Amino acid sequence: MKRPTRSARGRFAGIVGAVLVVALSAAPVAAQEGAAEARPVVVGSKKFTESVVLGEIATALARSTGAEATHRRDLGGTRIVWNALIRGEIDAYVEYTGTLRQEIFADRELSGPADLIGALDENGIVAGAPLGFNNTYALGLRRDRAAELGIHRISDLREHPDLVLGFTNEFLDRGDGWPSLRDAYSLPHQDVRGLDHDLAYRGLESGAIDVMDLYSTDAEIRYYDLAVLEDDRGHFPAYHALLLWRADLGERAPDVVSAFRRLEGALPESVMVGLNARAKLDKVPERRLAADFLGTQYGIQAPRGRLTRDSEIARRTREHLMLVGVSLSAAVLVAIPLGIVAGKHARWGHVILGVTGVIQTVPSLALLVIMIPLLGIGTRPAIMALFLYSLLPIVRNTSAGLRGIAPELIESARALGLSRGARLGLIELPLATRSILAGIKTSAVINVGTATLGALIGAGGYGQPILTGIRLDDMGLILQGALPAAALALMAQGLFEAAERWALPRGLR
Amino acid sequence: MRVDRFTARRQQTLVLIGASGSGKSTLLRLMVGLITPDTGTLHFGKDPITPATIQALRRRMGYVIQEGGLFPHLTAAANITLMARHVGWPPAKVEDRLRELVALTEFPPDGLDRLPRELSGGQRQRVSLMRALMLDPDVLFLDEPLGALDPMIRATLQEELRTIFRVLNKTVVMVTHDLGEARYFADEIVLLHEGRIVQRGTFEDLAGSPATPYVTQFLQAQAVPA
Repeated sequence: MKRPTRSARGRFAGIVGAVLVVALSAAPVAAQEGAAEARPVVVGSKKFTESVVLGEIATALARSTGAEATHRRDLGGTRIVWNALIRGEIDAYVEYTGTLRQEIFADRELSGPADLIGALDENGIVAGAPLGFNNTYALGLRRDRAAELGIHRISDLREHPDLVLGFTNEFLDRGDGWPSLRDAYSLPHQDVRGLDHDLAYRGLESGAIDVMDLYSTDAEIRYYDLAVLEDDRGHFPAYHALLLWRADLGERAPDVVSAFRRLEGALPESVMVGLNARAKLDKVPERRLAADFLGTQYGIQAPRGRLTRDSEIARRTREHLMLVGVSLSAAVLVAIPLGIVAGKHARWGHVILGVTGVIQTVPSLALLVIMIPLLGIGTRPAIMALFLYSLLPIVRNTSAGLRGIAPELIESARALGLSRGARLGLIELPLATRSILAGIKTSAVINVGTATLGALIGAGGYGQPILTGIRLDDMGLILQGALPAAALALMAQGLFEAAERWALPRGLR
Repeated sequence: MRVDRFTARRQQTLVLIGASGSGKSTLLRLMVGLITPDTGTLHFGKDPITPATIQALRRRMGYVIQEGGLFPHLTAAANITLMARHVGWPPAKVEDRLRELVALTEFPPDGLDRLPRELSGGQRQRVSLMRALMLDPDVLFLDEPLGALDPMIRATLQEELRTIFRVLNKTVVMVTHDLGEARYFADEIVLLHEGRIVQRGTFEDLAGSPATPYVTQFLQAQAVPA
C-alpha cells in the first residue's frame, strides 16, 4: 500500500524552511552593512542635482588621497541628511548657510559667522569656508507670463492672487520658506501646491503652475528662460554653500579633511551653474563631471566612468532583492504566529489586526521617514518599514484561513485526541494554506513596489535609477528602475502561484 | 439539559434517540468530552472526564460523526492512520492494523490513496469508522453515522455495521433520530425529550410499557410496526 510520501506537516515545514533560507542567505549582506571597522569616508547628498554633483566632487577628492570613500546620493531632504551626519552615518555633505540658520538652527538666534560655527561645533560638526557661490532661494515664472502680467518683484505677486504657486514640499515647510515669505510680503494666494522640484519646471512650462521656487544656481533658469523675481524686501538670506564634516573625521582621515579644504572658494557661481547645466541639460553623469572638474582645477586624475548599465542593474537588483527578501521573510515568520493567535483568540485578534491595520494606513513614504530617527538611513530602516508594511495581509489571511475551517473538522480533530499543537500543525494550518499563501503573495507584491521608495532614505534598489531619472528628466533611467521593479512584482506573483501548486495539499486544490 | 445518573453498559449497544433538539447529541458530546457539564461529573470506566484527562481518554474512545468529518487534505489512509502515527506507532504496526480494518469494513484497498472527495458517501463513512477504530478503543461513539446516506446504501451499511459491532464486541453508543435504526442496533434504547431522559429500556419495554404518553406518541409518529 502506498503511503503519502510528503505529509501535510512536511509541506508546511517546507514553506517555512524555504522562507528561512531566503532570510538567512540575505542576512550576511545585512550584516556587512553594519560592519563598523575600517569604515570608509561616507559623503552624502540631498535629492537635487547640485547636491549630488558636489557630493561626487567631495567623494572623488577624498579618494584622491588614497582613502576609501563612498557617496550616498539622493538622500531625501535637509532633515534626513543632517540627521545622518549627526548620527555618523555619513561623514560630510554640502550645506548652505541660509539653510543652517533658517532651518536647522531655526530656533536659535545666530548673528555672525562665529555663532554659526559655535552651533555646529556643539553638534560635533566642522564647516569649511564657503565654496564660492550663493545658491539662494528665489521665485520665478515664465518670462512671457511675467511680462504679460507686469510682475518683476515678489511684491508684484500681491496684485495677482489667482496665480497657482508650486513649491517643493521642503520649501512649504521650512522656516525660511513659504509661511514666512507669505507673511513678509502679505501674499494672498490660496492655490499653493507641493511638488517635486524637477517636476515643477515641467509644470511651469506646461502652464499647470504659474510660480515656483528656484535655486538661483539652477541651470533650468536659463534653459526654460525664466524671470527671476527680485526679493525686494530682502526676505531670503544668503545661501553660501559650504562643506560640513564630522569633527572626528579630522582624526580618522586628516588627509581627507585637507583635501576637502581645497574646495574652499573653488566654485564661483558661474562654475556651479555650468556644472549644473552639464548635469541636467547635457545629461553628463555626475561622476564624470566631478572627474573633469578635479582634472582641470587640481590636475587630479579621477575615474570618469561609472558602472556599466548591466552591472548597475545587477547591483540594484541585488539591493532590491535584499530589501524584499529580508523584510518579507521576517514578516512571514512574525505574521503567521500573530495570525494564529488572532485566529484563535477573538480578543487578541482585535488588538493584533487593529495594530497591524493602523500600520498599514501610514503612508509608505511617511513610514520610511519615521524609521530614520530610530534606525538611521540606509538598508535597516527601509527593511523595518517594509517588514511592518508586509504584516497585515499575512496576519489577516492566516487568521481568516483558520477561522474559515469547517467546525466539524475542528471537532473531529479534537475528538480524535490530537493535542492543540498537533491539531494546528497537522490539520488547521494545512487547511489554511491557500489563504496564508495568498496573504504572503499580496505582501510580496506590495513589498516589491514599496521598496522602490527605499532609495529616498539611502537603501538603493530599483528606486535609485527612478529617483535619479526623475531628477535628470531621463526616461531611460526611470525605465531602468521601473521595468525591473514591475518584472520583479510579476515574478513574485508567479513564484507564489507555483509555490501554491507545490505546497497546497492535493485535497485542497 | 438535565440528566441524572446515566450509564452505558459494557459490550452493549446503547442507542440515544429523540426528536431534534431533544438533547441526544448533546449527551453524546458530553460523553466524549467535547463539551463540559455545568454541574456534575462524567466517568469513563473509573476515570473522571476532566479537561486534564480528556486528551488521554479520547484515545480509548472512537468517534464517528454524521458527515464523517474526514480531513479533506489527507488521503483515506492518512485520515485513518493519523492518530496511530501521531502517537508513534511503528510503521509496520500501523500497516497491519490498517489491513485488519480494511478487511473488517470490506473497504476497497485501492480507495485508500484517494482523497475524501473522491470517495462515495458510504465509503467515506467506512473510512470514518476505520479512523475511529484505529487505536482499538474501548467504546465507539457514533453520532447519526448513516444520517447523510441515501436509503439503499443506508440499508446495506446498517447490516454491515451491525455485523462489525458483533465481531468487535465493544461498547457502542449511537445517536439516531430513526426508530427503525434504533431498534435494529440497540440492546437498550434511551429516549430523550426536551433535555431529559424519558425512558430507558429495550424497544419492547418502550412499546409495551411506556413511561409517559410522550413515549407512545414518539413511537406512533414514526409508525414502526411492532
